[in-house]
Amino acid sequence: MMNEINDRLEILIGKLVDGEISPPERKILERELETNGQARELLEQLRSLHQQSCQAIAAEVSGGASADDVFERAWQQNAKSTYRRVFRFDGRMRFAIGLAAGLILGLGLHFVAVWGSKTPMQLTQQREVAEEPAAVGGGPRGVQPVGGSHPVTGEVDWYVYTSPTGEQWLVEGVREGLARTADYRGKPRPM
Amino acid sequence: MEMTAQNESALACAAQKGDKEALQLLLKRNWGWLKGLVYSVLTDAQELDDVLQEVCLRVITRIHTLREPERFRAWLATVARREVLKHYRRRTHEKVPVNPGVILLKLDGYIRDPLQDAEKSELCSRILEAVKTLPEKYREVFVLAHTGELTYAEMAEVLDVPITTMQIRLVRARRMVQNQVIGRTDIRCTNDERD
Repeated sequence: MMNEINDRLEILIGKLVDGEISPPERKILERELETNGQARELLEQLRSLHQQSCQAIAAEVSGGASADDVFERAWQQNAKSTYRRVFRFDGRMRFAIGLAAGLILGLGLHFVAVWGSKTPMQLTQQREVAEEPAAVGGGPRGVQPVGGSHPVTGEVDWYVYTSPTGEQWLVEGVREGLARTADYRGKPRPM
Repeated sequence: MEMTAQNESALACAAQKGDKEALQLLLKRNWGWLKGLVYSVLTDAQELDDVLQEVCLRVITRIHTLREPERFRAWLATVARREVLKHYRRRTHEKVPVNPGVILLKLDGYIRDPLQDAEKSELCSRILEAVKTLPEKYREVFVLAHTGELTYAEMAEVLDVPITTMQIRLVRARRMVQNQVIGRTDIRCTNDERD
């Protein structure tokens, strides 16, 4: 009961010190203070504590940058981080981009390697044979399709050609419309 | 400090729509107690600016999540507490102890003669030390009450507790600080802290 009275009295004194006391509460407190020496002593102690505490805390928190400065810095920081968020790639995104770049690069290298492996001479000869079979020598008359015991693949047609000089040629007729020499049996050709 | 709830609510609504000035004004008006609250959790004045900037940044990025603009203060207090705790966790391992005597020389905004103000500084130092040893809920209310920025009702709103609870906490916090400052060891109400 004593503690409860003290709590109430301390709340009233605290309200007085903080400027939060209402007129009815002030009357109650004033009556208490008139008769209670301990309450008056407590009021003085709490007043002093309040003043010193305000000073001490103000000294702790009063320094530093102003609200406007801190806000501006935070605003700028937010603008920068927003920019970073837009252009930021996480791990999966980086992996996907790397994979796509690798595929494109690989395909590019593949085509470069395929075309680079044929010399211009080969390409020209193939074109000549395909476009002008007679250029091989003697025209198509002497060209015989390979059949019977000769292996025939589904992708190319093979022809045996004997030139007027007796040389025997195995001609590969690619279905793409090109023809190239696959084998040569005969005397060495003079260069 | 005479900001009505309506003004605050209107500013919060404007800030949610991207009005930079409204948000800046809102924070500026709540700056005093916000600093006090951050300090009360952090208990380190040296890192106040860093943490306040983090709080501002959080407010800027999260203002759209404020559901009740009329309760901006309570929301701001929650954001601030979270940011302080995050900061505190990050810095726990590298925290340097602060010498309170050094800070107290900054009284009234300028460097004072230590001999002239020795007694005052000693008292303030003891008060601050006592404040730092308070449990957090008492430390918060004590610091807020002594920043002189908020009324009891506003403090209750910021702390998100009924006003009577806030008053009881303040009485007990004062009692604990008073007892520590005058060197008493029989701190009352520390074992029966039931709000």
